[in-house]
Amino acid sequence: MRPSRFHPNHVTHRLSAVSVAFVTAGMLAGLAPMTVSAGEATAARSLAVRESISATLRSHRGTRILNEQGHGSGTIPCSIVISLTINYTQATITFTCSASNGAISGRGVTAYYASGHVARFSGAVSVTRGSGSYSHAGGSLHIDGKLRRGSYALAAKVEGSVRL
Amino acid sequence: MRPKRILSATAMIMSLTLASPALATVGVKLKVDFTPNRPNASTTIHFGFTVNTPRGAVPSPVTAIALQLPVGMGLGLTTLGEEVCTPSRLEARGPAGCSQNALMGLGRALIELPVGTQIVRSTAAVKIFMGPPVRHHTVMLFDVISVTPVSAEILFPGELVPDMGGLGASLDTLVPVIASWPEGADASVVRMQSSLGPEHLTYYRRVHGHRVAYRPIGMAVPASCPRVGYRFVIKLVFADETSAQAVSDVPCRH
Repeated sequence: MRPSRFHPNHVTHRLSAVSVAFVTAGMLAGLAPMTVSAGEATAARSLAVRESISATLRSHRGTRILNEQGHGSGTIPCSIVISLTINYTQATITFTCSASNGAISGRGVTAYYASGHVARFSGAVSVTRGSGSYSHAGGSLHIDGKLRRGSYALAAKVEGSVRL
Repeated sequence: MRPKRILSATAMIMSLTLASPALATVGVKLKVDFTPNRPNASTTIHFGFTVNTPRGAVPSPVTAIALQLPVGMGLGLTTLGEEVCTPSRLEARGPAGCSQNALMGLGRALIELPVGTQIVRSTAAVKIFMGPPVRHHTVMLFDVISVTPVSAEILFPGELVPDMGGLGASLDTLVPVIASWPEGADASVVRMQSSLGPEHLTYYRRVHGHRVAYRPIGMAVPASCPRVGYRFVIKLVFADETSAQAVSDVPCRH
């Protein structure tokens, strides 16, 4: 006699199929990316960064290398050290942002020009290394900043995405 | 004489960098020096060029100048041009209409104008001002004023553009045609000597309500000197579409 649709064996098979469906759905739910807001880590592990930097001149090497120190506020509140090597039309920037849970460092070459009492720099910087919570950090950021010529006080905005 | 409008920057700068115009029988000499000439010192760059022609004829007018600056200087700590002077202000009110703190350099130019078989020569004062930036490039405005025997004022911007992979730079300027009168020949700048730096410059600022004079910081002599010295290269383009080039190496004095 062939098992009917309502044969216990058939029911067992149906339950097994349903069980697999539930397990599969659960697995898929665990892997689905979560909806995020700025500043929260996603399941894909990237951080949208929006930072304001304020720094003052700490030292200079010769006349082209300025070493600045200050703080960053925004996505990653941190102490920040920035070095600018300035040519005629470019500035090479290196930075380290040290937060309570780790540090992020980066480097980039930006356009640079003087306009009266202000010099401006703008361009892409890459995250090159990290420590602590940012030990696997990477990504590209855009920096837009200005230096007060004479005092070399620095103010900048940084935006972009950091892979964690 | 009324100066003509400044030519399109893009078109003329392309002529400096693309196809090589035929070399003219006209030559150019360039002389550059630093005061002081010490590593890392805030310095004034003295530069001058002279256009030489066969048999002393008046050359075709210069329409573009590119002065290539050596690697290692740059704008780092210089405070030259702490204020900005705009072309419209210079045209309307002359140099007196701009802040003293916008001045970056001073010099003289010799202008020649052929009149029949004669050559009329006029000495002009040159002032270099910090201008508003263009395309995210530092701009220096050259204001050339001649009084006698020919009255003329020409104003042209020099744009600091990247060179040598961004480590050096070229100060690219477009020189407007100096027209004389209808049917007359155009005048030519045949010599220019100018400084770019704090020598002979005085800036002012307010400290506790008092006007205090001070000297700006110039560009710095590079810390290390190449064996040939600090190399400057000038290229001139003329209205007859020929060009001439010259090199000047500022010797190492340390």
